[in-house]
Amino acid sequence: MLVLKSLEVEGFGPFADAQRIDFGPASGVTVVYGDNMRGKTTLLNAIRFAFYGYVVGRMMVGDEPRRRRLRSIVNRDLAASGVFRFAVTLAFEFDGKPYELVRACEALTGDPQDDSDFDIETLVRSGGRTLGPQEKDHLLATVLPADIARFFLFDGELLQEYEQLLLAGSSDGKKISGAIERILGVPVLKQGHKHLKSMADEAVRTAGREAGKHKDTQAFGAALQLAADQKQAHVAELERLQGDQKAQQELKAEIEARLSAVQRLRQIVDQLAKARDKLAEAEKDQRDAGAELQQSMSAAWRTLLREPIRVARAAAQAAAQRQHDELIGALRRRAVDHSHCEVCDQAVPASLHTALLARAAEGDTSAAAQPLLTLKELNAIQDEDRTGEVRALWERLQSARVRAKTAQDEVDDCEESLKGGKGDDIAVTQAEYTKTLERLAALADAVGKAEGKVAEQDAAIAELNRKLRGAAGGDLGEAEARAALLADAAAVFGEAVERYKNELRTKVQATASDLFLAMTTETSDYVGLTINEAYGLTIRHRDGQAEEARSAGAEHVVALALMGALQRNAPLRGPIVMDSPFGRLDAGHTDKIVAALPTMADQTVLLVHENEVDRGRVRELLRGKLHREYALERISARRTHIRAVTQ
Amino acid sequence: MRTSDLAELLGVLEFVRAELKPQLDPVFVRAVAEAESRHLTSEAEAQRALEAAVREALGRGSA
Repeated sequence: MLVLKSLEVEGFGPFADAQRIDFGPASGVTVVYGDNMRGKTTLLNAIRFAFYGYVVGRMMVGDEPRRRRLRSIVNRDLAASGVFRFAVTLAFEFDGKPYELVRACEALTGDPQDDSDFDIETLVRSGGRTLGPQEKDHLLATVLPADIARFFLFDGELLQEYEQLLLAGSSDGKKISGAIERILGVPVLKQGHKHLKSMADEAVRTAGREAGKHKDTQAFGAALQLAADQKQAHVAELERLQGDQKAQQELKAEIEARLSAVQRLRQIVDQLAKARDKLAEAEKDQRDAGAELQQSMSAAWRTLLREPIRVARAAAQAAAQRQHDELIGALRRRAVDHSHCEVCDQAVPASLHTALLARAAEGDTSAAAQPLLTLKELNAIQDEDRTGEVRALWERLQSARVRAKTAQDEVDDCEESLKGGKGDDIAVTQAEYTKTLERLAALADAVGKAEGKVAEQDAAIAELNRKLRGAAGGDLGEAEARAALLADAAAVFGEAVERYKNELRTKVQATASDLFLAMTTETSDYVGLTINEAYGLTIRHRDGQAEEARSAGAEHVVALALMGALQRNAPLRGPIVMDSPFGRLDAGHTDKIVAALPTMADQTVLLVHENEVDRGRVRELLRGKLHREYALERISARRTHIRAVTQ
Repeated sequence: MRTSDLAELLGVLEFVRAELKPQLDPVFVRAVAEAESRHLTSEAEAQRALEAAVREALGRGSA
């Protein structure tokens, strides 16, 4: 069992000065609080660096995370002053024995660029002495093998990968299943079976040769040798077929990836067509809005003169009205004075004379002023403000420009993605895929037959061995005894592989179900988890049905339950170090998971942002199981200190 | 991997041995599992450890 004791970092990421974390007793939880960019992930990486000598980034290269360049790990403040050096010291206990692992990295040149410009020195001390190279390599390969590190050191993103275990035939799923079997100890049986079988076959041949030397057993010896040779031929054929099968399976996976890529290309082609349509539409709108704006702007200058013209026009209007009134009044007065109208050159009758006299006295010019009033109203209409229209057109033009730019970017992106891609070879790939499936089916059949022949030969060898023992009077020679011992043991190990896997699956399912129910808030609807052949877990509803589709949050909880279940059932146990694992979870689930941490593993290190869960809540939920608390304190953007938090 | 952590695995092996090959030496079966567990990362070391376990088993008169 692996137990972390302390971690010391210097010059590593934001930890320019030597900083240290003590993890406390073997059983319990250590929590490190830190804001973004303070170094939580760096601490996880420091542990990785100590064990493996490299740090992984978030980007993927194929199906592996890209390793970060050593230069990028150096503290930036130190690098700015020309110091390219960092070190990680990890103290731990393995199977009860204390070790101190030091990995120090130093530049060989003044301005290192590549990893080859650095030298990494690794030292392991235990019991007051430094381990030799072989002892050190063996220890580091045993303590926390890199292929199972994912179950001990992980972040929220890694947890999402476990959904792959539910996808039949997924290459990522197979890789994770393999790692799960590794942590559960299945390879011990698989390797044992393989080695025993190979040694047993060799022993049978030796036994045959030995038996051939004696008269009583000569015939059986010859038959045994022949059977062993025939078995070897069948095994060779079986291995050849299995090799072909593996190659075809890899080809199948590659074609599936290509089909998926072609599918993606098709999506991009569709997206490109739509982006081009959007671009054309936006450009047309841009042109139309531009033309309308230009037209509107040609008259818009008048808007500036609108007020002075309105004032001048009103004054002119009033002057015209006044002159008009005066003229009408003068004409009326002269018509009254002379009883003669100068306009129509006629005498004014007596009846009209009285009325004209009255209206002239009142100054009434209403009837004659009507056209002027109409003119005034028309002038008011011409005076309309056009700034709103111009503004609207300008905004429309700007919007069209933005849409055109966005569409152009999308077109450029699509065209870039399509570079080098062949969007039209899907039919060829599909045909190749069908052929591969046919070849795989034929190979599966051939492998089955070859396995049958090997089994027949095994049975024949067992029968010959039985007869040989009879002929030798039950007194086995050393070669026969060796062959029998190895063959029997190989049979036991072969049978134990599946039995052990089945037993583990049952145990992992039970433990994961308990953990899931302890971690989820949905306990009234769900009764547990169901495990598949690949160790994928499905949520089981109270009605007995499996929940086919589940949210990212549920995925997270299931993955954490799997982690805990593996820890609880694996021969290889150790600490769980988790970085920001609550990103997708609500407060209820976060609380329940924090409370369940001590049941997931004996030792847990939680690297967390206080927005995910605050200190008071952590203390309340973990109580006596919370052994240590640390805070990552900002000194500057490039410097962080680790401060022990006292409750 | 620590030997004591192999309890579950050894339990299954012993169950299968008793059922399938009761005459097979249980000490040898356990020794093979321990050797494989100790040398998972080295094929050559595992083979050497197995050879030693076979010799010991035959020395005890197992077959």
